[in-house]
Amino acid sequence: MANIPSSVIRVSAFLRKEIFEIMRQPMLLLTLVLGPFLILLFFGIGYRNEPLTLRTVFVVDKDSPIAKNVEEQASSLGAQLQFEGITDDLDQARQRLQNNEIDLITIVPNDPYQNLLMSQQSVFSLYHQEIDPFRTQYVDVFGRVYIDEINRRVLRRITTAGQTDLVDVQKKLDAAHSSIESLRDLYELCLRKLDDGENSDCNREVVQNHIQDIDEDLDTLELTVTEKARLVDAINEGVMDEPLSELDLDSSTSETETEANLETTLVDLVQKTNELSDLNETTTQYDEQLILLKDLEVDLNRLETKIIRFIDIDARVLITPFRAETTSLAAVIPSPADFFAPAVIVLLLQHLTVTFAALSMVRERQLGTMELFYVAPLSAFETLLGKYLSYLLFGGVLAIILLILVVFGMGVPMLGSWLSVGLTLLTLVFTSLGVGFVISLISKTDTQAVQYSMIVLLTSVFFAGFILSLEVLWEPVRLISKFLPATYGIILMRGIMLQGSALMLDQLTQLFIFGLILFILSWWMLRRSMAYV
Amino acid sequence: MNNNDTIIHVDNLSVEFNKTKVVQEVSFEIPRGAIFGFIGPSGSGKTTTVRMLTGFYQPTTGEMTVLGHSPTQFTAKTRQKIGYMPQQFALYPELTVWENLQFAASIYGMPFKRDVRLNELLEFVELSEDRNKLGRNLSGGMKRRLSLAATLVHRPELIFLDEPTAGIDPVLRRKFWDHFKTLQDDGCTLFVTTQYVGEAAYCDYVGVMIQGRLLMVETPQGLRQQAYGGEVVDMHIKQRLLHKDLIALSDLPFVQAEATELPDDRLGVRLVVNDASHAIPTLLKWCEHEYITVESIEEYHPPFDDVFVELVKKHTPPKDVSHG
Repeated sequence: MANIPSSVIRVSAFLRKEIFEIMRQPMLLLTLVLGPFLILLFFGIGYRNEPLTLRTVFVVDKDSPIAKNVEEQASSLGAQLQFEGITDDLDQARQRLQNNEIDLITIVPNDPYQNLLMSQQSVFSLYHQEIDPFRTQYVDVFGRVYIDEINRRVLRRITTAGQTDLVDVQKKLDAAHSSIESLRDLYELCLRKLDDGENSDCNREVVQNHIQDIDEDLDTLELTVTEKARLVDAINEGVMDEPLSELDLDSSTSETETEANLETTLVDLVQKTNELSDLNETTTQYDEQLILLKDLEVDLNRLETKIIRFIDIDARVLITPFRAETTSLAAVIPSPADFFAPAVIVLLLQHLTVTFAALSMVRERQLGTMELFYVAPLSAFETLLGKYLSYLLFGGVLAIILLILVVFGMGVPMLGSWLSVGLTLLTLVFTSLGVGFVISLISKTDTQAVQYSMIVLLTSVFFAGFILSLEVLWEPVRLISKFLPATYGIILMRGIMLQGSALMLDQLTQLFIFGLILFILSWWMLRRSMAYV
Repeated sequence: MNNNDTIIHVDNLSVEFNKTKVVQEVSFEIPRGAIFGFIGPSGSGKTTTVRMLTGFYQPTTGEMTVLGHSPTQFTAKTRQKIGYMPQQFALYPELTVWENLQFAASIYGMPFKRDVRLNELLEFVELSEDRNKLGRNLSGGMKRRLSLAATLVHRPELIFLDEPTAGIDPVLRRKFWDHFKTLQDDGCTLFVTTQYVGEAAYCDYVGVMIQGRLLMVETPQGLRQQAYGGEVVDMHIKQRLLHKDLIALSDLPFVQAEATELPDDRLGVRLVVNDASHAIPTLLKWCEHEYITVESIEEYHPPFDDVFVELVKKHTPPKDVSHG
């Protein structure tokens, strides 16, 4: 013991003194440990990661043709729209908005059908009185999303109506099939008779009637399907960028056939039907007619297949064929409380150590003990080192307790190594102490020291990536974050705890160098203040 | 005074703050082992002088050595020999008496095996029973005693005590001076500032500071002589003296100043003489010759408060009243 250098004893004076002083304030200790933990706990319990619900009133002209549909449509648009009624009085709605009874007024366009005919878009006007930029942005997005939904509904209704019409088409196709089948049976009968050398008189009248039937069926089909076929083809080509037939997996279908769209198939059918009228009494001609009928049937089948496939597609899928699905490759998907936990630990440790250090020297001056230090064989380095060590120890213990509570008490993930977390927090406390001691040495009163510490805290909340990502800051302004220990601490702690990253040495080195510069600056300032006046 | 016996040497020391002269042309020497009382009213420059001597302030002009070194160039070794008790309680309210003392011992680099010394000091300042009391719970007197213990913890050779008795009761004040005497007996040199002029009596040497100037450095007795021009003798008599008797007394060769009647309507006369022990028998003879009955005659030791007032009167230039 007797061999311990005096310097070490002098440094130890502060270590013991500061620890005793802190230990004498159990309420302070309790607040320091439990306070941050409770803040996080309540944040975790209370934070609801759900979009805001907007109480909405719809303003609709009473003569509007869509007035009766508004409530039904609005009530089913989504959970974020809370339907608060319909009115035709805009002033009354505005008054309710001002009284904070509602969050949004939506003015429904009077006659959207008329606008459509005039090739004009109809406008839903949304009024709000948000001042929070985030909520204002939310209302903008809300408007876009809900108008998209309305547009989708309109489109779905049109598509569904088209599909319903095509069900009738199928009946006509069946009739055409039946007529073709009857004609084919007749031709085959006639051909058999001709082959058997019987009278080839194949009842021309009946044949002509069948041809007439087929012709009529296809005319009707043409009339009914042409418009629908265009719609189906347009959807196929426009939305899917390839004909629907491309999806036909029947390998026997030729490339030419597969490329044909519905409209072309229909034109082919009509042409082939026209050829049926030229019937002669030779076997060859009957064979040709039968082949023609077969082609006709194949085309009809193809048409039918395409129509059935189109009808079978869910209208919702047809109008919105794509949707996005995101999958995080991160090891865990943290909850909002988990995400903020490392940053809260960093910010609290920084704030506490900055404040303690900031008050430290001011308090010595106020107590008059600095006068003793001047006279005693005590150097500025020993004084500063003693204080650094005591607060490092204090910050370290506080960090350990906080981490244990957060990780084991709240279940915040700890994917990285505890050693990396320890090194990060130790360097963070070291650098924060530097900020605190510089404040302490430029402050004349404890009020001033506390105010400076609060400014550091406030700056850290906005510029250290606690709430806002650093990327959203304008680059020159982002420089401020370089002078805040919390910036490095938050990056490191989120990486280690939530992503399981290895220690980012570049960040840690920057933080340490920053801390070292502050230590040297504090030392220089203290030396100056401890030298004779 | 032999240079080896001089622990503090100050020559023509002055200091200015913001162009205001706080201490002006102060010169004195303090022999090793003495108690030096630095007396003066509040704001007279006592603390500033102490701070210059401890190396906190740098003088504007003049020279000084403390323990043979200039205070602005004190080494840790020199500082180790100095004890300093500041004017205000400069210890920690959240630490106990024992912890405060431990802190003081540590900043002077005392080895950790120091409990015996600390206990001795607590005994010395009568705080053994209160060792576990927090600083904030101590009375004013206890705080001063704790400060004194903290100042002495590293056995300094030279102790600066800045108004150690300010604000404490007369009994404790007396105890403090007893402690100082004990420290002196142990070989320490004490530099004590005080506003209590009466405490000059406990000092070997007294420096009187008025408005930044050191009026004089004297022994307590020397101060009285400086104040009154000699020693004071009070002669109590049965009848009121005639004016011619007062003149005759004043004209005696060993009488230094005009004889005056005793204050407070007491019958008798006060005389300032060059040597009371020689003057008293001569005075008795003179009274007998003049048929004046003397009830008693004794050397009077005027309180230092009066001495101080006299000194201030003597050294304050008369105000110019000849305006216009």
